[in-house]
Amino acid sequence: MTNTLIVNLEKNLDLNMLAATAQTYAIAKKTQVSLLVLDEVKTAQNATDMVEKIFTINLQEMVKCSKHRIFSNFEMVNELQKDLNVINQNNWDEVINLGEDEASLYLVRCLQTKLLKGKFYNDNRIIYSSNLMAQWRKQHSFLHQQICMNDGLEIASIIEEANAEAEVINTKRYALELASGQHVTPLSYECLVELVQGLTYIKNDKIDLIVREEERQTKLIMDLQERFPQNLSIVEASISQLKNVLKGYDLVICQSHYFKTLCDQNGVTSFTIYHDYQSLYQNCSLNPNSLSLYLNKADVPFIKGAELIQCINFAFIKGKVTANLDLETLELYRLNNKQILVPISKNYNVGLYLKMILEKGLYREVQYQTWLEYKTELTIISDRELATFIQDEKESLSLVVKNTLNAIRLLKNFEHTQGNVKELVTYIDRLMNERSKDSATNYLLDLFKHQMEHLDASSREDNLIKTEKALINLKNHLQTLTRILGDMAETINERRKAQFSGINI
Amino acid sequence: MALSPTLEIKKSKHGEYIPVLNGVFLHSAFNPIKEAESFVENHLTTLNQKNNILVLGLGFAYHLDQILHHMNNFHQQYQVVVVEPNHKILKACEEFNPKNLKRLVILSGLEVKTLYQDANFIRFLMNRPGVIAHPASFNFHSEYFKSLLSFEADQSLSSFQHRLPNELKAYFQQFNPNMTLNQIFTQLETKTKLTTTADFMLGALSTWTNNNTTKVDTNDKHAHC
Repeated sequence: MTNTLIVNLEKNLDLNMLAATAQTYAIAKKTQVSLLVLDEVKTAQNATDMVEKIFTINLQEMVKCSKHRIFSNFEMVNELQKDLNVINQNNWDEVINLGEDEASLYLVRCLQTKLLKGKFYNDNRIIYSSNLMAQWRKQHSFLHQQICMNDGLEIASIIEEANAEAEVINTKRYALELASGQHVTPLSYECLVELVQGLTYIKNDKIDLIVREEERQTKLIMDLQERFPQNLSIVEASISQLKNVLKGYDLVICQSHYFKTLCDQNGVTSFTIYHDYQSLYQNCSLNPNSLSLYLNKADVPFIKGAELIQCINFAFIKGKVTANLDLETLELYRLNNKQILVPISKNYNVGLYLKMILEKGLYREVQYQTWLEYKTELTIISDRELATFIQDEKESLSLVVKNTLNAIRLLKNFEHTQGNVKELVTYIDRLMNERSKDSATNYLLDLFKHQMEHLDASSREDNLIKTEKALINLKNHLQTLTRILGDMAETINERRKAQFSGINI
Repeated sequence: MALSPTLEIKKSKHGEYIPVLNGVFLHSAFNPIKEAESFVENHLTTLNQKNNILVLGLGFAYHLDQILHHMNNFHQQYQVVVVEPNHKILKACEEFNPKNLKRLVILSGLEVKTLYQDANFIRFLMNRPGVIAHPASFNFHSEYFKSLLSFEADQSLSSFQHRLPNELKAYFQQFNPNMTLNQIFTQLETKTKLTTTADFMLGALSTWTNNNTTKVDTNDKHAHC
């Protein structure tokens, strides 16, 4: 088995998210993954056991040396060398830097490894960076999925196995997260009562109410316990204990992302409630058996336990696109083996679904020229909805194409004359900073911005060449997007042709 | 301390031995244990909050007996380091009140500069210990302790060369020994090609310190590039 070290030395790192990525990577690549993070991050976030080992750099110790007059600054050299010696005792087959900070670009070059990936400085201090890096900060879960999709077959087989196992399960143990706090809109007491009643009625089984130690809501707990003295137990756990506590359940009903992430890490099926599409898109459960429910915040007080139970029952049916769950206000989704959130309910967000197909298809096309496998996902979308979506995307696209071509034209002028710098900068600035809401062009512009932000400033000529290269790349990617939108439009034509010939695709 | 002070050993009215330097009693002439108890009562917050304590002045360690007693109650793991300028005091203490000395790290009779060359002492200081001064010892050796507390490390490469990790000693030979680390960072910035692992290591350090440091490099104005 190979030995991989994933590095991220950012101070505000989400260690659990990184560990989840590392775990998926470990399974997909059949490798042992360790992490290298800052000591303060590991201490603050109570390290996860999902990775082989977590190495640390004690930045605070080093900063102490540089700040206090009684220490020689050279103490820092000793401190860092000490940490590096520990890390380099392992024979790394590959080191992947997912950090965006400058120090890590240098530091990963000090690690002894056969292969270095991600982002780092070369000998001339020019940043080497893979396209994946552009996604890391904005869409952790997206990268989490993409990082393993290089080996699509392997990850697909894992998902198949998981699906087969989940075909029919006799549920035995439920857990319900009792959540509170700023970022959560908790279910009402009435809803919780109906939910517990419904679940225990169907399965005649017990439910554990999981309470985070620091979020204890004494009155609510006492009321619920009084109501269900036989069927409801209270499990109080600290953050550090939660992961182990959640391991034993067949289904965990989550009200916060934190619980959902822990369930994913443990391979536990979860049912998570989301109140905004952005977080549903970015933080949906990666477990193919888990369900994600979108529920508008304003509707939370009116949700009925019976509706939730109706949704929950789907968690124990093999993941197949049915789109037949008739619910008034709820939208239910499940991630399929192409990493698309497929709607299970009749109600669903068409724009979100199409955005996901287009963005992931675009990514696949840019990387591997395999967009067509996503085209089949369009079957549940009506012609009218698809046409509107394509039209909107084309509008955003045409504006970006215009700016790109103008920038390329102005850049070409520099080969002969001085050129109009101000105008060129205006167009490049637009490409870097102007975004249409929810358009797939944003993904391509992010890639472009990433390239532009890491231009080596050694010489003007060199910069111009690299800017041109980035613009040409962008132009090619925009052409790819145009082609994909064309393919989507073609779907509408094919359907019409099929209708005329009496064949229903 | 041009002349070595005269050390006498006297007995308190309670019967404990007391060191007397140039006629100055370092503990209570009546009851040094009682004095130590009330002295430590004033430092309970520090002893409670810190598991590393730096004590300035050994005397005959009556105050240290009390400090150790409290540290034992407050912490599972702790370290007490004592700085005593006069080595004769330690020798006498070993004879007259030795019971707890083995539980202490005692740095005695060392110059301030020498103390700051000790890697273990530096490491101990990096843990931000609580500092407790034994009043009589501190007053007697006030110059020594003031210079200890206001010490500024020599920032030149030459002053640290003996403490550099073995694997980096050869690398640092390329730099002028008078250079500070900040000056080495500056020199590296002009290097077009980074050729060794150590170059990258210093690159990382440079980035971190540029983002965090507030210390003025006092050696900068003296060193020659």
